[in-house]
Amino acid sequence: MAEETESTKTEPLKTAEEEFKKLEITEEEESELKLETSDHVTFMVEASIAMKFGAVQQYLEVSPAASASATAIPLHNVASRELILILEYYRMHDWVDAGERDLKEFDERFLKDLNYEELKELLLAANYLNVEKLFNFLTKSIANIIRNKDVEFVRTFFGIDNDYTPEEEAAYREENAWAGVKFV
Amino acid sequence: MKPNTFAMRKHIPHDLIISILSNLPLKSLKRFYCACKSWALLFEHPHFMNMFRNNFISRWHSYYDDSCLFLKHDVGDVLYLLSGENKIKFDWPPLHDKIFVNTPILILGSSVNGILCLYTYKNDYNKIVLWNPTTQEFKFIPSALYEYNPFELRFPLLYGFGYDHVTDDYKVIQYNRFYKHFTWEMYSLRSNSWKKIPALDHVGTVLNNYPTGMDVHLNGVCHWMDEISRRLDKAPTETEITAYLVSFDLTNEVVLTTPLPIKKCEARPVCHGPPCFLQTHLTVLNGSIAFISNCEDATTTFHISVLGQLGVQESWTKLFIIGPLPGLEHLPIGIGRKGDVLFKIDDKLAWFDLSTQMIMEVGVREESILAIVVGSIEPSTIRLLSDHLQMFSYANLMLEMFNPRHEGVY
Repeated sequence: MAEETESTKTEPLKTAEEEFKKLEITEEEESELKLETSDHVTFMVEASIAMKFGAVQQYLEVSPAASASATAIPLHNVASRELILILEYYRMHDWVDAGERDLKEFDERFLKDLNYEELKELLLAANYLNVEKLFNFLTKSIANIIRNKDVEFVRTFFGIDNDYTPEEEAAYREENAWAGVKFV
Repeated sequence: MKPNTFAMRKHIPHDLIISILSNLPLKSLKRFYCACKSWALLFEHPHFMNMFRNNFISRWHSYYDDSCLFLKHDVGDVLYLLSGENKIKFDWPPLHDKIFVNTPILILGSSVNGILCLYTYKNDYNKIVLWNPTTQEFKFIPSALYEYNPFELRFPLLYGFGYDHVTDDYKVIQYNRFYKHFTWEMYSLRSNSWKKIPALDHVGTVLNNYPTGMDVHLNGVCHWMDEISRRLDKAPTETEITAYLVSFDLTNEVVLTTPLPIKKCEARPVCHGPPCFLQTHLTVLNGSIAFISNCEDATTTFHISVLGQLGVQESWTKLFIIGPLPGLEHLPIGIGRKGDVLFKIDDKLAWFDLSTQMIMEVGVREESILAIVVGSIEPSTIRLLSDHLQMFSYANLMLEMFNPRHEGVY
């Protein structure tokens, strides 16, 4: 009996030690890249995540010395608040233990915390960084927001100037009346 | 989404707007046509159309959660269920008896919640069975309302098989042509009886044969293609025949007709003789009603149009052009998971992938395939049918077989 308790006591200690060693190794192996946003904030980002950004890849192809972490990779069109969001998104989606349900919940919460203006800024940042997964997620989400809205909402949302004459617009509205175009 | 100050600060470039719009359903997109001039031209923009098509077919839809093929042979009563790589053989329910000897067994529409509606007919008489291939349960249904005079010639045509999710009921629609008049009636599994549908009385049908590949079921609505003849206002002695999509809502029994996206002269399925042929097929493509035809040129090139809004002819939108496909002799058989189109090319079955435009052969080479139904079997809903069918036993089947109407006719 006594022997057993002893062995069970030592077991977790050993595994914890091993885990700690593993962590040390991964920490050593995980290199970081220095990214600088448009508002001159520098971020140390795991290379595994930073290399998912097309803009970072492209920069490193041109000047490979930047990977030595001494110089910061400039992200001219991304502000720090957008980069924080993008990193949050990618850290979650990169997390091995995240199940499908966790990701769905995360995506919903992620979207809920953004207003339309922030959403558009994030889309522009995702486009500049060339991050496919987030970009597709954002385009789909925006499409979902506007799908049941009227023409006026969409014009305001995208800042589009109506270049139709009133007669032309009336003709279009009549032609596509089935699609739920309200008459002005 | 947080409440928003709706001021436009950032300008979104056109290519990003295009990426967003390509994710919209057809109806929303058409609504936004009048936002500005460049948006109205999007459908002529090849890059946009490619994105829109790919998003359209990749959008997940439960209808395609599990699509299976039922392959039926004309020799013997053999039915195969093809699900991925697996081919499972099934025995038919006993549709053949002393009256219906070697009559062709047909499948009405596609499977609904894993249930097939099979029927066979001889001259003016038919026999209908609802059948669950997975559990082998079956239920013969009465062939028509009992009020008809057994000595009056009646030509029944089956038009639709579907599921009414409001009343949790399976329904079958039948058209009866008599010498001078016609009736429409609907069978309900729950009440195990037929009743007349007055709503369809203005839909006269001119089709003479049992339609195949003409009826689909989507969300409690049965859709089929038909030709409606109408007296011309200008010349009342002449009739104009137009091809229509007839949509019948199984729950509230409302009917809606939509002219098909073909010109008047092409409305009749006339065969121009080999090598040209004119064919049409109705199907469901990712949750939308789709119409496949080679009407425009009668070649092996097929056009797929998707319906944006029931009842509106202008809302048909041509989305895909397939082909020309050399060796193709038959119209597409159906559309399966992720918008793959099933064809029979040189007596072999092949899937045509709409997104890659690639042809994949199905590992089936039987030359005698008579009918193929693309359907789905969803395990979660199979239980429902079992509940329905439990009350019907073999005794019930025997009763149906010795139905006095049989004896009266033959």
